[in-house]
Amino acid sequence: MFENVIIGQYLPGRSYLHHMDPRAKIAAVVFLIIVIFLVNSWHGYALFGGAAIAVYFLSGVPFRYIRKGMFPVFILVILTFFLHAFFTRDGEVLFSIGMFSFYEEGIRQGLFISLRLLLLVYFTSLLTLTTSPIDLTDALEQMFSPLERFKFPAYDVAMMMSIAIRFIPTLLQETEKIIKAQTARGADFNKGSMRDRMQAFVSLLVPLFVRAFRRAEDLAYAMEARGYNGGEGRTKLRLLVWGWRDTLCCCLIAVFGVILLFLRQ
Amino acid sequence: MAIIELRELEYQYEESDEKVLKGLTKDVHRGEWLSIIGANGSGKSTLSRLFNGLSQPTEGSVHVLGKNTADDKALQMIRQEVGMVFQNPEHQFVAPTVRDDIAFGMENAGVPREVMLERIKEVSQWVNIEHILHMEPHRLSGGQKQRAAIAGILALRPQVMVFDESTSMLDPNGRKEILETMSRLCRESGITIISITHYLEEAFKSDRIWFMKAGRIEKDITTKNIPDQLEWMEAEGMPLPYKYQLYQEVKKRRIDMRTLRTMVEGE
Repeated sequence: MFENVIIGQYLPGRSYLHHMDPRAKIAAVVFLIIVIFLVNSWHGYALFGGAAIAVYFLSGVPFRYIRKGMFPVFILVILTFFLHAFFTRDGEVLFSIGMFSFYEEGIRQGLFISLRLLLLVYFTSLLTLTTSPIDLTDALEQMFSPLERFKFPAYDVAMMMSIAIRFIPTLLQETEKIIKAQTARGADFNKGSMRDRMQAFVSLLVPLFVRAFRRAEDLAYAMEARGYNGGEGRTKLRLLVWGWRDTLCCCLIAVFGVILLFLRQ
Repeated sequence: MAIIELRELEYQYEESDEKVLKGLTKDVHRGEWLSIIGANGSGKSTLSRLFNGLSQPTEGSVHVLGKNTADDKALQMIRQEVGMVFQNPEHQFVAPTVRDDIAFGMENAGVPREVMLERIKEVSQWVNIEHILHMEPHRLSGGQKQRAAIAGILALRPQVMVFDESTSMLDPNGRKEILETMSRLCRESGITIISITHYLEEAFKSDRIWFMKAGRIEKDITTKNIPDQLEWMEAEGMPLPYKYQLYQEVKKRRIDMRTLRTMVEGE
């Protein structure tokens, strides 16, 4: 199931979106998410659909990849649609099945919310698929840095995110090792009652946490030994460069947003 | 000339009743390769963390290039001058790629970006990791990880490098790579090396050895004097490297070299 989740995964490439500054992409996605929730007309969603197709061509991400990634979201979308269809009772009754009646507004709300969810997952997935995690954290650090004057620890937050991303594969490797070690001692993670499986999971989680804490302590020593002292006076190897394509993208998205807001009912 | 001076050094962990280090007064000389050897719990790893102010002594002092590690203002300079390579190569990687990790210490020190790029190129060539600069740490072998960690420290241009059991989690090839790197660092670059180890054969490659026992430096010998100390080492239960075991046997049985040759050829 988890290999099908595309949010958070990065797919290296050389597309227009890959070459964009991550700050522009984050700003664009945040703006689009706000607009997605403000749009309430079919024209608006039709335009959004067109934009989604255009962005897909600019991303260079294979379609099968997106289809595979969107599939798990469909379950949530269908559930959301039926919740609205069953419980919103405004407007005329469109049709009835047994004791259930489906109202015009319920169907409309269900479709709108489903489209919003799909578009939200689609755009955020394209953001992470075309932006490396380190670029994302660098961009977030820079975008949050004005808040440092209000004591917001932008640098520390970015460092924490960067370390968390760095340790995901390492912790997965560690989990695999512990599973093998516990399986060799008779633990079974796939068979037995729910209680047996929970017990087996405890034998996985306890050593994983112990090792993670030990690792965290060692890492803290290693960082301190290399002079880590927070963000003050620090220079950076990676530079984010804002180019023409970033300005163009932000302008186009702003115009797009204004048009969509005009189409609101 | 002393680069690190330990004076009446004592250390005690808060949760413990007993001192881990007891009244150490010693000097580490500029440009030498010093090995510190001892059993688990003898205090050698604790001592290594005192060299660059990662821990502070309970009593006494540690001076690096004349600066006290207890002086907060000097600490940043001390940590640049005394680099540390830790035991587990996996636990010391901060950044998602080798290149970013080498840059981490320099970023902390405020080194300009152009200088960083030059130094990354230089040190990666020196430890032969140019081909893995783009890689994530979990894709590297143990030896590559340790060499990448060494590159990250070398980029800071330290005068001293402390290796805290840095070969203990490596396979024989990885160990050989790191020992060769240590030797080159000391002999070619003039960097003072302090190597904490469990292995006598590693310690015998250095210039001087401190034997630690129960928080004290039991013996301080130069490796030229190894033959004189072999009996003491055996009495202390230290497993001698094979060639020294052979040397001891030959000496004990008073076998002359011609007889030994006849014996070996007869086999």
